[in-house]
Amino acid sequence: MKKKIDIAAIPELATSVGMHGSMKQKEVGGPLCLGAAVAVFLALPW
Amino acid sequence: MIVGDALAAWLADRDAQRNSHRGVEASANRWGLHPLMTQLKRELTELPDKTPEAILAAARHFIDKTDDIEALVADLIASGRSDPFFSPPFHPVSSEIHSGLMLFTSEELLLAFGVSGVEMLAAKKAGKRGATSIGFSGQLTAFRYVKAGGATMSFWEMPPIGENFIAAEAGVPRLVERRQLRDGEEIVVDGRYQSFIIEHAYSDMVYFQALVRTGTAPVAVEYDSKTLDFVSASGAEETSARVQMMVSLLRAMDRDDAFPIIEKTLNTPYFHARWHIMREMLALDAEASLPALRRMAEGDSHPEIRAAAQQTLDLFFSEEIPAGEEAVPCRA
Repeated sequence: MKKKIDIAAIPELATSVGMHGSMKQKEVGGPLCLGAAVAVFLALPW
Repeated sequence: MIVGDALAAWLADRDAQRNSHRGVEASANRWGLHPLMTQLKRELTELPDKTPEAILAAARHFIDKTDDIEALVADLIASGRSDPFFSPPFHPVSSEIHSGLMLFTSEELLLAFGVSGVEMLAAKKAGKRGATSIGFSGQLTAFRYVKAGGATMSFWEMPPIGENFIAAEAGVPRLVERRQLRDGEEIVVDGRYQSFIIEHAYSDMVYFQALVRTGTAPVAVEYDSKTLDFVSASGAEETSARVQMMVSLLRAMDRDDAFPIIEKTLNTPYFHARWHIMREMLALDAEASLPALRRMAEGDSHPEIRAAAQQTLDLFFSEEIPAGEEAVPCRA
């Protein structure tokens, strides 16, 4: 039987990195996130 | 939103719905094959060296074609006037302070046109707010302000976000300048070390945004705008996020037959994705992960990965067989 390690027990990096597009706080303005729109756009008849 | 009798009549009329759909398709075909779009696509394809700067230059050639863009906008307005149920064949992009359309998308570039309404900005500024931040996107972006709305912006810089970014050593952002924008002005924000904040505006801001998808930093970084303390980091590009989610799903489904494919994704240049994938591999098949884990502990370019890999070896493999003598798993 394969040895599997409980993922919660595996060390994390000291630099925690959230998922793409996630921000904890946000100020007005600044670069706007366009990435999330791409997948849906590709479904259009182009 | 269209409500009331007109909507009820449209919903009850299949022919009217078909006509609306045909109008959208015709518009998509008209503009999808228009030189405005095809020339940009060709220029990007034929770029000998797809540097972020070269991609941005191609986007500028698109934005400079003002006659074509005015014709596009006029065509969309005319279509909307002739059929209130027409919707532009471009994906809408919006946020609390912005609404627009994605005009062009490719592997290398996203190009959008939109408006930041002054009332949207005012509502955000005047509304109940928690802590706010200065965000560094990790991506190269150009903004061309057709109408700058008399906006005053503050521009910020931080130490460059490198491949081996470490939160504890991220540094502190500094204010570079604060000034009013002019109509027609272009600003280039290298999100690997630059950012801006719209301080205030007098009227709507109308602008193009060209976002370069190559040469991206591994993470986007967020600082508290008052204390200038580091707040968080998040993945700066989409592909590695998709790979991470796919690998997690395969592990959750216990698909150890996918292990060889998962292992290949370890070659990602994004450090956080590499460690995410390794953790999933260990949860799927610890013994098969051991050689790659040892390589990470010895030679990964990111010091936190080397440390985490070594810690993992000490925690779970201290009594394992020596390096080089692992049994080669048979996945037949």
